[in-house]
Amino acid sequence: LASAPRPDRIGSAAFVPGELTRGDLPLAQHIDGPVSAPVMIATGSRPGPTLWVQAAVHGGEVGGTLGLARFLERVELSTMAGAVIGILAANPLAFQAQARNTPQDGENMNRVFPGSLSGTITRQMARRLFETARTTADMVVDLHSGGAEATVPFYTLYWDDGSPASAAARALAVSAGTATVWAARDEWLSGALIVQLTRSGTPALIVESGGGAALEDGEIESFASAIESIARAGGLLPGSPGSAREPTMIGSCDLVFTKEGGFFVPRCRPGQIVEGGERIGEVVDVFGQVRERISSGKRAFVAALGRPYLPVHSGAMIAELNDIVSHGGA
Amino acid sequence: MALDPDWRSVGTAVRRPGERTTGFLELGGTPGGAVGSPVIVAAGGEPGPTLWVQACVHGTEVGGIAGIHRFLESVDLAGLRGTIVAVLSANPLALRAQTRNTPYDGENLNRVFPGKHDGSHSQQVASRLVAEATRVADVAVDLHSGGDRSHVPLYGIYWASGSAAARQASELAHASAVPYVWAATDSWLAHSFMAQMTEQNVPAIIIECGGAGQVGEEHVSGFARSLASVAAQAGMTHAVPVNEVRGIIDECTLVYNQAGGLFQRMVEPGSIVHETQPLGRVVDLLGHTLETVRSPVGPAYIGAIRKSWAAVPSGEMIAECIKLQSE
Repeated sequence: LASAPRPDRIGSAAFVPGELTRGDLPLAQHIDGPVSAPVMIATGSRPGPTLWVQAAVHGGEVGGTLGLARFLERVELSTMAGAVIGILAANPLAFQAQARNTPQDGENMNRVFPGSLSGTITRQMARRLFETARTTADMVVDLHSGGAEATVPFYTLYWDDGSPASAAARALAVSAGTATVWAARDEWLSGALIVQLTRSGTPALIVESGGGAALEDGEIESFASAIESIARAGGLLPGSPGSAREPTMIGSCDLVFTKEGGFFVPRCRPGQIVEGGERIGEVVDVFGQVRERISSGKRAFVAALGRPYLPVHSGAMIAELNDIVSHGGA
Repeated sequence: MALDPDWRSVGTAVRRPGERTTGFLELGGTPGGAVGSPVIVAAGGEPGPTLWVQACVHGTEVGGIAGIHRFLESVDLAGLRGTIVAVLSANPLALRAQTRNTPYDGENLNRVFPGKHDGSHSQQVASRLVAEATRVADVAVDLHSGGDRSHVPLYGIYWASGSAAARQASELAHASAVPYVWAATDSWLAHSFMAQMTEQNVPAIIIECGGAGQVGEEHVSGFARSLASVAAQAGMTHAVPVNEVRGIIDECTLVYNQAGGLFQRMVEPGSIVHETQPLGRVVDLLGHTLETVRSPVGPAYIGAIRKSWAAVPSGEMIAECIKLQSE
């Protein structure tokens, strides 16, 4: 459990047994006043663990925000133990701009955790989120998607460093009900919230789903049901998580970039397994000519894929290709 | 030392002895076609080294372009030994958008050298710049300023790694007609163009001058005078190099504010401050002082200071305080 006693509130939102409360958590200062993240706290009728769930570290990834709000609105507080802290827009500046990175400094918040109070605005916000989560939460879930540019399958991700917190995060990741779990060790993820929390002893995981500048109700429901399953596995809600199947485990991720400018035309699907040499997609120029053919260098799980006809410059990240560690089963 | 000393062209600009030609160096692709930099190749009548000079790695730092124009106007091509290659828009997307970082991927181009041919847009631009510069250049100068945000004094920077190229870069920096030289060992500069060119045995320096949204005559002439002196030091002209160095600086602290509001500057660019000396204050819209931002080190050279009345949220880079190493 979190080392410090639980505070009375997170920002202006209070823990009130049996109630759902709302408020704001100040993270930085804008020119004319505070920059605050909207917070909801669902407090159970009896003591128990604290689950921190946050969405929209990348501002355009709103599926998590809506899934988190849906879960918090419908959770039965009379049967719940502990509390769920919901941070609905973890990067308020990026959320307002509907941009992946913070517009003020261009930084990707999920690369700068644990942050710094003597750094850029993104690092100051990251520091306050990290410290608040670390000192109040027993487990943390960070919700992501492919945003406006890419589409991702429904999967979970935890930091695989062999520590007790990592093992606990793995158990939560498997409980979420996804067909795929990424056991991550890629160094470029080291500034992610879940990595820094796992290293400091708090089990933390990412849930990914959807994107591609579109949002179906099913994706919102995927997030809500994943949070519910994790809350069961974490002992906040009664019953078993309900996931009987063994997920497919994936590992090391290659980021694939275009070398030409034009429009990206996918030749596979997010969540598909592609063979080495198999076509991922093409870049077609304004004249309709194929300028670049992009293939996978290995047998891989397609963990993210640029949306159809995404306008791209050279250097656009259009796919994440993960090694397959083990295949799942029923 | 250039990998290809007998090079014939940079992009579409061809080297013809005694002539000044122009052309286009492709640096990346967009949905609408290629992006790249206008290039000037000013070839002397006599053989000699190639001086690569580039501007606008950060898109708002346009003073370097004017400085290159002024410098080239002063060059007598018939008497010049060697060739000057001027890359006027090293980060084309940032210049077009008038932003410091590359708008497409948000990256700071001067933190990603030598780049990657299969990386992000900025990394690909960096990779192409380094490939072309190491192919043709014997010495390189990268021109910077405070852009639209900060006042920056005239000073030079080289990567003090101790290599033979770094020693040559030190000599170039000392001969660049600047009052202060930053003998840089700060790790966050390791992926600058200057550092990576020096690592690849091409002595390279940065010249900083001006900013705060202004390009004044003193900035244009400052860049031009520095470039002329560097060319003299490289043996390309008969002029005597100008060494006006008064102090050596290193170990830079980037100072950020925590309060949001309007910034009021309290120090001059290029001044020496003591530890805890106020650099400026942040006032709210009602006129109350919310924060006094102080130098965390001293004695330190003000390598950059945010302009007054800048509207700042928390986490803006207010100043560069660079420790004075010797005078």
